[in-house]
Amino acid sequence: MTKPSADSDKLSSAPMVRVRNLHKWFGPLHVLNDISFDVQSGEKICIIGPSGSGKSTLLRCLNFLEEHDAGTIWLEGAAMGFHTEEDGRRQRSSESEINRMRASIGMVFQSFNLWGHMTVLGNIIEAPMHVRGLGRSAAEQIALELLERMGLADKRNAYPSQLSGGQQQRAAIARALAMRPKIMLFDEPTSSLDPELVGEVLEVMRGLAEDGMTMLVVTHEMDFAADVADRIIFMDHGTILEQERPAQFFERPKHERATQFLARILRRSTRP
Amino acid sequence: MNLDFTVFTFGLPILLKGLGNTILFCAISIVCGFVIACLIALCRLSRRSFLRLPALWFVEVFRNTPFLVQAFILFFAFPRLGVRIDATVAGIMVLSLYAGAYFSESIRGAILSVPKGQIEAARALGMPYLRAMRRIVLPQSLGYLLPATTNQIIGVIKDSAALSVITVPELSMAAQVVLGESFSPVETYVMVAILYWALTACVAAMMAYFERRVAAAAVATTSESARFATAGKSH
Repeated sequence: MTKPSADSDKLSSAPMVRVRNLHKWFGPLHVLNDISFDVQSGEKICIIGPSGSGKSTLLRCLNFLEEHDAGTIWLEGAAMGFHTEEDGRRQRSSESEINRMRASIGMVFQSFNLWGHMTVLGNIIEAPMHVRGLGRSAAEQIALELLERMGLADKRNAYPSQLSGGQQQRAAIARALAMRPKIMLFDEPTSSLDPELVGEVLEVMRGLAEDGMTMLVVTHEMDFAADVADRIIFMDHGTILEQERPAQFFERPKHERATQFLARILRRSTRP
Repeated sequence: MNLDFTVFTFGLPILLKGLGNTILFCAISIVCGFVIACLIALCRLSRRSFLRLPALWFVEVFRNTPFLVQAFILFFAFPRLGVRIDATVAGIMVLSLYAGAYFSESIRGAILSVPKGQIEAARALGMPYLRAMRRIVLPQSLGYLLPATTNQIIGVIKDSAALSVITVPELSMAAQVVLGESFSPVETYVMVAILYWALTACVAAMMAYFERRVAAAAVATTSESARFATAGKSH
């Protein structure tokens, strides 16, 4: 893995994601404070930090579920959500442009968000058919391959409420993958699962990582982060405090807050 | 009290014609009202204040003034603007707007009753807002929407009686015609009441049928069709 050179602005070598000076306020609360980082194609990044540090908001800004107040996000060189007019004004991009960019970003939510009125298969073929414009048979073929890979082939006609949390989350991952995304965003994908179901979801995510998917994962699973991530981004109070390789970060965190956070997490996970 | 039975044989055909008109006018108004209501509800949920605030005012004005007064204003306003308008057209317009204001509130409630994550998942996949509403949110809000809408449709039917004052030839207007000939107010209005009741009872029964269908589908998504899921049958 080659380190990205921080300031190569050529579009031809545009990174998968580039974020510069990103700010976001929720009323008076400054949830994202001057966030800048790059993600190269194929990179796996875990974003960790205490709750309320802005991790999920950052992820949601990347596909414009939250609209940033300042700064810029580029996906493969294309600005997300806003562009700058010739007179320097910040202008919201058209809905169709935003939708087109979103279609190539997969998102997996903490609460799965499978559509309750559709079967697993219906959930997966919905966007390929109604966003990409694929025919039913083509969409179903993609869906069945993905379900096979997720170990859910026998659940294709089940409704979400008939599945365990782990199965629902794997179906949700399949739904995102059916759009053939260039990058996958995971927002605490295992946080609402029973402990015995966490493993099956992480296993699927490891498989994706091995296939070379570009991944940004907000997680509290430190073992997963240590194994899979190329880089750890540690956030606190809306800022990025550290961006390090996992070995470096877990063994010699530079910041006092990171040390405290790791101590808390590790104490929790070693408790009987 | 003596009941005058001759008024039944003479009045009923006139009243039935009025009932037919009431059904027609209400049906048009309910359909138009539903379209208006969808637009108003979406505007009220918009984050753009130039859509949200006018929609809010619209609902406030139509819900907080008597329907009778609204009908008078609209009926007399058009000639003042130099537009000749048929009383029936004016009546259907005002009833549509009135229904739209009421329906919009239950549509808004129904949309809000669906967890936010449902539409976020659709939007995150690049689905346009209106398509996500139609494909994802609306089907899941029916369980909330139908019972609320039943009451409002019945309300619209009952309130349509007020249109007789602007000379719309509906059931209550027909009652005045019968009354003018027979001078039997009790018999006439008892018949009118029974006809309104029959209509609203039919509407309620129809809506209850739809509610059961939706509830059955909801059950199917939770437990019933577990059979299909495990059997791996595809449809």
